[in-house]
Amino acid sequence: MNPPVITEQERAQKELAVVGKGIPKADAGVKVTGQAQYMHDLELPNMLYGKILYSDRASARIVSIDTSEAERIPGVKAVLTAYNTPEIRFGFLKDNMALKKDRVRQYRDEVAAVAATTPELAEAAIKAIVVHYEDLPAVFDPEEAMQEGAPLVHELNPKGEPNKDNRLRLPWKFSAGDVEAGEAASAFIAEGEYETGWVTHCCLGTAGCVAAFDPDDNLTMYSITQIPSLAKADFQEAMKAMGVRGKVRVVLTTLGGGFGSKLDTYAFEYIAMLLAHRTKKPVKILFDREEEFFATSPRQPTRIKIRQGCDAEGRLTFRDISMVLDNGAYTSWGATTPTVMMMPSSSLYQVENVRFRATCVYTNNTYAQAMRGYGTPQVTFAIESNLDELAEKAGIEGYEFRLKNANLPDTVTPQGFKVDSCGHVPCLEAVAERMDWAGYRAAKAARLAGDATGAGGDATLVESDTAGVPPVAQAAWTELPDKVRGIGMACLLHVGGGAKIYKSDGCGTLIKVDDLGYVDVYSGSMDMGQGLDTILRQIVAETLGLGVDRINVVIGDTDVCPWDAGAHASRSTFVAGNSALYAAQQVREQILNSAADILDTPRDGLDLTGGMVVCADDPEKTTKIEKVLRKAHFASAGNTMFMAAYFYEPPTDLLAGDFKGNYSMAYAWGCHGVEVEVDRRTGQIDIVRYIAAHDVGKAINPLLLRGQILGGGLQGIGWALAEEMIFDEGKLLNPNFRDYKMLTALDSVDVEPILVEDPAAAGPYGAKGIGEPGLVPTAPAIANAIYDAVGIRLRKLPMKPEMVLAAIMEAEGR
Amino acid sequence: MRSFRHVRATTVAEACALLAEPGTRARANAGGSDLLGALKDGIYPEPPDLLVDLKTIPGLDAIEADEAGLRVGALARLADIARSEPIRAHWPIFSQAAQAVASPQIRNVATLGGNLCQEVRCWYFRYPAGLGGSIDCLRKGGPRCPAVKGDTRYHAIFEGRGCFAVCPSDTAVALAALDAIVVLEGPGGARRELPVQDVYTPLGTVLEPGELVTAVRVPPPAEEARSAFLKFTVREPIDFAVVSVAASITLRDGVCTDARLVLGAVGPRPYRALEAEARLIGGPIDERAAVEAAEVALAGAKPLRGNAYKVPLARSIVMRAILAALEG
Repeated sequence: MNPPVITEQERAQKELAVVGKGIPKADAGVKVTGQAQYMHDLELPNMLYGKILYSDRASARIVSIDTSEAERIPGVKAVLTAYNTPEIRFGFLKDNMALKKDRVRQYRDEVAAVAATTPELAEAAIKAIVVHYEDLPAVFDPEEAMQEGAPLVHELNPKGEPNKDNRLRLPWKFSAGDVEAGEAASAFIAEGEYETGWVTHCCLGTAGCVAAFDPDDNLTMYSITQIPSLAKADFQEAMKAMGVRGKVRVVLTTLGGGFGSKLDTYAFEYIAMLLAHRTKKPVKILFDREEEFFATSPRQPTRIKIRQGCDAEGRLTFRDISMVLDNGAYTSWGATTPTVMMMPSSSLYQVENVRFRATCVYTNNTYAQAMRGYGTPQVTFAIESNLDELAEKAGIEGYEFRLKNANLPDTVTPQGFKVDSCGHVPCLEAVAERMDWAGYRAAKAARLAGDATGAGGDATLVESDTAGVPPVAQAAWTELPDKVRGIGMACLLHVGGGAKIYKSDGCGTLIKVDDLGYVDVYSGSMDMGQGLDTILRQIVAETLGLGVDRINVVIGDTDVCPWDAGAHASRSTFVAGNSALYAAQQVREQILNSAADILDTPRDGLDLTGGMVVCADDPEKTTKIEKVLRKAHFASAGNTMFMAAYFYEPPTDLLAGDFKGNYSMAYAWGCHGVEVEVDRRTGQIDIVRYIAAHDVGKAINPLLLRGQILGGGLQGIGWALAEEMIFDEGKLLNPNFRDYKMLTALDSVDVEPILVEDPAAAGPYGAKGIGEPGLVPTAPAIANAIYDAVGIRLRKLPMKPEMVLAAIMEAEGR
Repeated sequence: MRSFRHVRATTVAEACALLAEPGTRARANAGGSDLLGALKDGIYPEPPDLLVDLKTIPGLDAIEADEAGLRVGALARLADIARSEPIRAHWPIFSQAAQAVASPQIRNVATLGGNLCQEVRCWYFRYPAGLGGSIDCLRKGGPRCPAVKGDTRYHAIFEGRGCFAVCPSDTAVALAALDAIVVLEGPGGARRELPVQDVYTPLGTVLEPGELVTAVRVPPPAEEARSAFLKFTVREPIDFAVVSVAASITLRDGVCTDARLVLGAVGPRPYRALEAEARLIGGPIDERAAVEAAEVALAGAKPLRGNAYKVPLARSIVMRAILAALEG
């Protein structure tokens, strides 16, 4: 079905009552008062507690598993291994199994599982299981894993054919134009290698589920998935593998954060199903904090080689990117992030000649998954850092260089993206203006000129611990001041109108209206804290001329809600929003048509606004909406109530083969500017100022939108400066907040958002998606600012004090 | 977590007797902010079967200051030490070090004795059992230290022997710079007193079975003493020191007559930089002196392959601590 077209004139016709207002989150009250029901709160009658035994080897053959002692513990109701359960395969390449048979390939491999009447008994039973292993060679470095003769992580592919090496057979290649010709036409070329490691989502609500079968073998899975419809299909497939004929229902509890971590199903969910089916009782598996770090899938680590060139005027001539990704031992969505990394690689800035290659490699490390930004933060770190290097070679200031090459509206990029609305230049200009970019640069140039005459230093001297110390003493320690400042910027491109990375990028909505003017909206989408329920309320309320208090959004139950591709790719406001909008417009038409009959007035003169059916032709006929609802319902004949269903499928292209086409209905742009202070004596980086300009199309809810940008910015700053999962030969050394240095509220930076509103023609009220962009350009903006401050180019994340200090020591020959 | 017996002691003697009970693996517990986490993570190969609660011993949380100096009971909470008026006035770096620990919630339960005797934070030692089994290490009686060939970025650059975990206590660093004495009491009324840095060994502490830290005594400060405590962390709050430094300097007529420079998180115990102290004594304290003392302080450092950065970092913090003490 084609979506009804709303013209700009129609949008402009009336002032928006609800859309564009900073309405607090729908669930703010229940969350702050502790009434929200998380997985941790869920208990069902007769529920058992499941627990998983993980491998203590990175790579080994399972010789034997002795569960006899565990089975004898009173209160233990089931002890499962791959040897007494049906095989359940899952994941993007179906190379993962719920319980591992014969062989373990990473420390987090699930070897056995128990269900018991208490969590303590389950833990005791796990400890009573004895597994004998025979160590096998392991490989932890993706580049070593590609060498000939490297130990194979998987000897067979999922089809049972032998693997030649550890490379995944995935077609992640893109090219446009002629890179060699572009290179030949270049006056300047910059190249660099960049590396990003493992970071994880740090959801404050740890992962878990409750699996419950009814007597007819129908499964209800209480879940925290971000993809209710796709997870339902996955679980249904697992039921088939289990030989169980029932139907699956997925019901969500409140989520304590998602950030992409729940974009795939996990072994623990299938294990809960197996335990629940074996025991005929509901089984809950709930991760503790260490498990959350250890057994959920982090962001995909990358090693990126990049070359970019420009002509004498500073126009980009080519971009050549190749990368190796550490896939870990199994394959989840992380292996598909290169398809999204192609987007900024091909289309951020105007560059005709582009080449992109990515190789995903099996290792015996933890397997990676999706995380906010889906690969674009990693590749943007390389592109935007390298862009500054190129600009310097060309002798052009970084901001000017970016403006010269910035994307423009109504263009088609080398990958075939149809860019209509484009706020790239306005975002760049907004950051430059807010930071007084030209003034800062001029002041620095003046200082440098002063330095040449012996009057100043090659940096901004600010108050430091040694301020006020006579210059002679300063010179004894070093010629340079302790703390120096610099500025940097970086831009982003992300999908803002859904992303067809699956064969459907659609979302369904059902709407019904009762006699009192209360509206239930059943959306296939879900909320993990980003505020989708609030956005849908606003869109439906606006369309029906009602207050948001009349709109109830029902999400997270696959028995009730229509299909949706899930909360990812910054798609929900756009796709679920459009779906709700078009369903609401159908209801609106139904109400207005009925009202025309009931009020005996032409339809064209009627409007829904402020809770009223407003009659422009005859103001005396203006009446409350609910009166029309009741008259239609309780009529003497032709009784009706108002309800509608709409499935919105964005008319975009599923990219394959040459990866060219238009895979989003809108593209989101942004620019971050940052001023840092580098402590040269400790390697500490302080963020002095942080500006985040985002092209959002239209802010449906500026309050929540700012929250997204602030949260994204802080998560990005943590990624850039502090967060990393530290592995020693596959073993996670820091599965806790003590050693995984997630920033706290007291570390938070005052991110200053700037909302650039350039409406997307196809977006609900002009909106673009903004869930991910907040953290995409953070790391390169900071790296560029550090370079500006101390002249050191950091090419590896995170830029923790120990790394920064080591780089400074090396650069200064200390 | 393995189940255990829990006994509330009402006297030090009773606690010591319980802790020394033959055939039991007993541990003392006060605030529980360290021990309970370690038990939940299952880090001990042989977990305790008896916890002796010290919180029920009356009077062990007293903070008393007079002409003879300061006496703080082992059960004094870090929050109380941080806000104690006499400590803030006369031994400010002790208060600052207590305030630098963790979060308000933890400081409200964590005690001085526990902060001094807490287990090291080495990630091999602390690896949770639930994730494929805990890691055996020298400190836990195992054959070798896995950190030596592993990731040592937060490990020792001084005095590591066999085990390279660092003493994580912030208060111990400040107390060492204040010449504090730790009072240990054991079964049968045994009692001994040790300088705070002598409590630690490369593999743990000198505490005998049944022995407890019951108090800390700090001598009165010299009238002209000035001090500073600096703690370098990756994030602002709720973090252990990468390096900390407590400096106490006595100046008479512009000349340094006495100095204490103690480095934290660099070795198994608070590390007193004796040669650097000697370098400061007898001269004026200015930036040049601070720089030189910092060089001397780190001259004997033996970084591991993963923590060379800690040497220049510690040097910077020593220098800044000396200069900050002048301000203090």
